[in-house]
Amino acid sequence: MGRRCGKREVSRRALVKAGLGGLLVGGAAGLYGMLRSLVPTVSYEPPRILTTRPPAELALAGVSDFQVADRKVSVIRGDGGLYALVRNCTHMGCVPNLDPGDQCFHCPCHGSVFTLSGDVARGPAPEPLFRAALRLDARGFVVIDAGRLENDPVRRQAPPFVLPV
Amino acid sequence: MVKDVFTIINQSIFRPGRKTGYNFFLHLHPRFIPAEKLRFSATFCMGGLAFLMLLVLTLSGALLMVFYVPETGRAYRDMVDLDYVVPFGRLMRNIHRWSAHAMVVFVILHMARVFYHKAYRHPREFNWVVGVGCLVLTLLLSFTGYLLPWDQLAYWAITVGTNMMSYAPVIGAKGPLSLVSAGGDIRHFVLGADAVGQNALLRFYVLHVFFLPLLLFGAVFFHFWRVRKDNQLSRKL
Repeated sequence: MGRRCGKREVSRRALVKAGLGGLLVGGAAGLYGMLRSLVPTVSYEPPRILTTRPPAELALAGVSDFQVADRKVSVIRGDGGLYALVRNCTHMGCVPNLDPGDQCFHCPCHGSVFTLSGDVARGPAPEPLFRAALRLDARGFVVIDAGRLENDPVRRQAPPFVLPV
Repeated sequence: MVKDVFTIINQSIFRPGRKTGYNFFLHLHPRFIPAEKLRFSATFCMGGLAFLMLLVLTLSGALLMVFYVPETGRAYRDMVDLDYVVPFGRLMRNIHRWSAHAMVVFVILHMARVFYHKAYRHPREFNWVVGVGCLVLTLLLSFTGYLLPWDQLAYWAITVGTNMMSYAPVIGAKGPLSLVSAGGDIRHFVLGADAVGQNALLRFYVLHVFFLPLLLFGAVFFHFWRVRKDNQLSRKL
């Protein structure tokens, strides 16, 4: 880069380099934009909240199945009260079904078995089924909040993951 | 006058000279191939058959696109219509389906043949890598096509397949991406949602009919070019 009569001269090579650099930066920005657009900012999926029935009815039924948005939820009467088991296998996301014979949930995809409380009786599932939060609405109906999950053996025994009846 | 126009057009396409007709083909093929390499057992035609399947799949797939809408309410019914309503639809769909299975088989057998002939060695080692890229693209095309019938098999297969992604290190559900934003793992990125749904169907469709075939054709032609450049078929190493 030289100076002539106070005028700055840019060599051809420098100009090409700057141009290529600009294209590279612009390309990278475009690529980022393309990838960023693929991450949704708004979800049009239905809310994972469902108002069901009064607790006494659910307690009487023993096990009641509900579809809460994309999750299959079974509300079960346990020792401490009602709890809502999310029946999406912790292995690969298939839906284990309750076998009335042995009172266990069997996953059709890879054969995981869960007890009624959601613990793993047989692999390959790596962890227990999750439980959804439960609460009562103003009318006294049980509301399942399948957006709030817990499968820690201690924390899942306390509200809101157990609803005393 | 008519003859003049014809002559002008003809001469603009075919250059003067005796060999113009097959000059094009002379450039597609190598200058010479040793007779021993023309034996069937030298290649078992596996690469060529895999490429033939790719051509059949492209054509039959383009035909299927006319009868299929990637929308959760329609996809399954469109697929059933192809089997029961569209004239020759079942033939069309099965040509696509069976050549897809065959392509995976041919690609794997081709890979095995190259391996057992030690044809992955120098100077062809880079073309082996390109070939592995073609294999991965073939499998990704199979995977994305799997979802499109939108039946129970498709739905749960993709549920399982994409759940595997969340077990991946770094980009998976427990990696740094998921700490930045909720659902920021690779599974969420691919599905465009928390579960397999409309977004996932559309994304898999776009990948299946556009991006992956584009990449595969590019990779395949690069693969062929390297065959010539690496003297792959013309001499024994």
